[in-house]
Amino acid sequence: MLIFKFTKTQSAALVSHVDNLRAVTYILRRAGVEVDYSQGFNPHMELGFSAPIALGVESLAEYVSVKTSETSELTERLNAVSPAGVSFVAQWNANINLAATINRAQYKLSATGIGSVIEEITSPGYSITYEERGKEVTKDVSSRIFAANRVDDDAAQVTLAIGNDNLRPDRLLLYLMKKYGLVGDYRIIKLAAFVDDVPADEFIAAHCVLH
Amino acid sequence: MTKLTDSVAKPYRYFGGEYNTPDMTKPADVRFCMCVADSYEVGMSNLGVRILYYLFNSIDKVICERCYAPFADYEQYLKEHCLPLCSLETQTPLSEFDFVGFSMGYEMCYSNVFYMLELAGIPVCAEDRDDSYPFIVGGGPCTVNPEPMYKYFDFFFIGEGETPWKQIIEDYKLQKTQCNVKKNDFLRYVDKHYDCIYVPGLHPAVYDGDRVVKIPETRAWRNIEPDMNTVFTPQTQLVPSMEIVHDRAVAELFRGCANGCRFCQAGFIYRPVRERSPDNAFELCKNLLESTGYDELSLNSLSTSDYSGLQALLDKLYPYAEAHHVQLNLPSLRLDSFKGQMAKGNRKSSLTFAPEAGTQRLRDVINKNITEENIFDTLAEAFQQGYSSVKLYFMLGLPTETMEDVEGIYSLACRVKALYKKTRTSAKPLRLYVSTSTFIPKPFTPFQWCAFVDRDDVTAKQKYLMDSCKKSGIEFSYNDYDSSLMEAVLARGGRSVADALYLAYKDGARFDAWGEHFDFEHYRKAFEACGTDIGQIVGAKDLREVLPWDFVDIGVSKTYLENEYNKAMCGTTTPSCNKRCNGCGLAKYGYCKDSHGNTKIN
Ligand code: SF4
Repeated sequence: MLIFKFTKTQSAALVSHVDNLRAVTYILRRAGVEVDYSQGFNPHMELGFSAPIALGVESLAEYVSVKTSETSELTERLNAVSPAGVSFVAQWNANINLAATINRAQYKLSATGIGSVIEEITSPGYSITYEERGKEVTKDVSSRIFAANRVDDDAAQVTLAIGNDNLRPDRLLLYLMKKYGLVGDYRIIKLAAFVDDVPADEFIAAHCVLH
Repeated sequence: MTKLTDSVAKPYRYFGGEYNTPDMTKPADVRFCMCVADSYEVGMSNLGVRILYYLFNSIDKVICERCYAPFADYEQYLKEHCLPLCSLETQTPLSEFDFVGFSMGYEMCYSNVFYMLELAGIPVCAEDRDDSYPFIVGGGPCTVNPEPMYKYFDFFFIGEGETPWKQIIEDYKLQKTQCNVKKNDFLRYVDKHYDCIYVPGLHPAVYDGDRVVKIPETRAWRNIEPDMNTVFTPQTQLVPSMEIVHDRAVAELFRGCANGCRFCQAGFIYRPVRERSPDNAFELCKNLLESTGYDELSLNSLSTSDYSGLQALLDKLYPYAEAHHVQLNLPSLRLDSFKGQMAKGNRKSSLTFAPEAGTQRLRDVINKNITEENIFDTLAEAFQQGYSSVKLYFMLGLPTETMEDVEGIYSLACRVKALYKKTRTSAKPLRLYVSTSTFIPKPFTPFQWCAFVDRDDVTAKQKYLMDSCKKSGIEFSYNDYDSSLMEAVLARGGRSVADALYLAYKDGARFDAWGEHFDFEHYRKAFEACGTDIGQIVGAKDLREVLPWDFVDIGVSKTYLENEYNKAMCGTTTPSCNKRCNGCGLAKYGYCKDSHGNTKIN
C-alpha cells in the first residue's frame, strides 16, 4: 500500500471531501497507476483518506492511502495530471489506516486581531459557543486543543483534534471573532498533521514497509 | 474557510480550476467568454461550448474562458461585495472581454441571459452598448429562430461553429490589432462575409401586433460541417472536481438523425446524418478516457443505435472498457433497434422507450416509425432477461390527436403489464411508468404551422390518464402546461415578444428551465403589460403565411416541410434517410452524396 501526502489549495480547497475522493480517483487513472478495485456491484478504487477537513480550509497536509502493487516513485507522474491546487509532495510504502490514526492538525488562522486573543484558548476548561442545527451550544473543548500561539496581531497557529472528537478550526475562529468583534474575512490553512505529538510524516516513515 | 464558503453553496462552481483547463497565461489579443445561461452543473455538459472552448483556446493569441448563471446565494454575495459577474478561469469581469457568447440550447434559458448580463453590469439592449462593451453573441440550436431575442444580441451565429468561428476570430484579431476596428464596422463586415451570421440590428422587420408582416431582408444560413472525421474535435474535456450533470466522458458519434420524426426539431435542424468512422470514434473515446481519467463513457448522438458503425465500435470498446474499469452508457437506444444490442455491460435496471403516441395511426402522423410488434417483441425479450422496470414516454397535444389516441396510451400500458405477467423471469413486481409531455410545434418542423394544444384539451387528457393509470397501478406523470406554453411562445415568437421577455425577467423570472423556479405569472404580467397576444403566437398558421423565422435557411426546404405536413395529415409515413433520400433539399448543397454527409446513400 502506498501513502501520499498532498496539498489542497487554490480552488481545490473549495472541493468537498466526497468530491475530492473522485478527483483523486481520476488523477490516479490519468496517471495510469494500477490501483486495486473493490469487488461487488459497483467496484471502486481502494483508497483511504485522512479525516475530512471543512470546505474552504486550505491544506498542505492531506494524506491518502492507495492499494496498489506499484512501488516506484509516482509523485511526479501524479503532479503532471493533477488539477490546480492539488500537489503530491511525499510518498511512502506503509499500511496505515489514516483516518483512524492521524488525530491532530496544526492550522494557521488569519483574521484581523486574532493573534492578540488566541492564547486564551489553552486555559483549563475552555468552552466555546456555536450554532448546531439551529440551536446554540456551549461546550468544553479544552481536551481538543493542544497548542495555541500568536504569530502576529492578525495570525495565530493552533493545534486541534481531528477525526473523531474533533474541533473544527472555523468554529473556533468564528467564535473568537464574534466574541471580540473581529471583522472582515478570514482564512484557515492546515499546515501539518500529527499522530499525538509525532508529526504524521515521521510516524508514517517509521512504519514503512521495506522491500 | 472564508466568508465566501460560509455563505455560498459549492463555491467551486464559480471558480473552476478543472483539470484540462487550457493555458490562461499566454499573451492574448482576443478574449472570449463563453457562457451558458444555466447553472455550472448543467452548463458544463454543453457539447457545443466544449468544442468552441478548446477551439478558441487553440488559436494563437486567443483566450476563451467560461461563465455560468450563479444561484441566488452567489448573486447575493456579488451584490453585497459590489462585484460584477466574472469568468471562472481568471475572474475577469465579463464586460472586459471582446466577446461574450451565450450557447442557447433551450429557449427557457433566455431570462438567465438578462440575469447574467445585468450581474456583469452590461446593458442588455444592443443599442445601449457602445464600443467599450463586448460583442454579445448568441449561438446554439435556439438561434434557428433568433427573433425573440433580436434586440439583446449584437449578432447570432446559426448552425455548427467549428470552421467559421475560427475564421471570424482570426478576422477580428487582425482588424483589432491592425486598425482598432469599431464595433459597427465589424458587425457590417461579418454580416457581409459570413452567411451563418445574422446581425439583427442591420435588418429591420415589420410587425403588425404579433404577426410578422415583413421579415428581415437577409438569408441566414445554418452552417453545416461536412465531415465529422476531419472537423475540429477536442480529444479531451474539462474534469471538474465536483459532480455535474452527465459527469463522464462523452463522445459524439455522429450528427443529424435519419428518422425524420415530424415532431422533432433536432431531426431537421441537425440534418444530414454525418458519421464518424468507427476507428475515428474509438480513438476519440480512448483519448477522452485517458486524458480525463473518467470511468464512465457516453456515446452521444440523437439516435445512437442507428450508428452504422456501432457494432464495429463496440467490438473495440467492450474489451477496452473491461480492461480499464470503464462503464459504458448507451443512451437513446431506439425501440426498434434495441434488440440484440441489449446492454452488455450496461447496468441499467430500467428500460426507457418513447413510442410518443398511443396508436399506430398517430405514430404514422408523426412519422415515429415504430410498430406495436416492435414494442412487444423487444419488451418480451427484455422481460425474459429479467428487466422489471419500464418507462414509457408519450406526447399529448399532437396534431390530429383524438381521445382514441390517448386511450391508446393507456391500453398500450395495460398490454405491457399483461406481457410482463406472461414472460417475466424476475421475482420483482413490474414497475411501469407512463410519462407525458405536452407537444410543442417548433419552427423548421413539418408541424411548424400547427397550433399548440389548448389548456382544457390537454388537462382533460391528463386527467383521463391519471385516473385510469391509478386504477391499474401504473405510475403516471405529466409536465406543467404553463412551462410548455412558455417554451412554445419563446420558440415560435417573433420580435414582438422581445420586450415582454425582459419585463418578465425584471419581475423575477430566471432559471425558467427548472420546474421549481419557473413561474408563469412573471410572463403573464409581462405579456399583459406589453399587449402581447400569445394566442396569435402559439395558434395555427396558414401554410401561405410568412413566419418570423423564414429568413433563416436550415438547408431543408420549406416545400419539403410543407409536403411532410400534408403527408402527416393523411397519415402517410416517410422512410428513414438510411433507406432512401427523401429530397429534403440538402442534397442540392452537396450533402448526402458520396463526398460528404450520409455516405450510406449514393
Ligand atoms: S438530402 Fe435526402 S438523405 Fe439527406 S437528409 Fe435530406 S432527405 Fe435525408
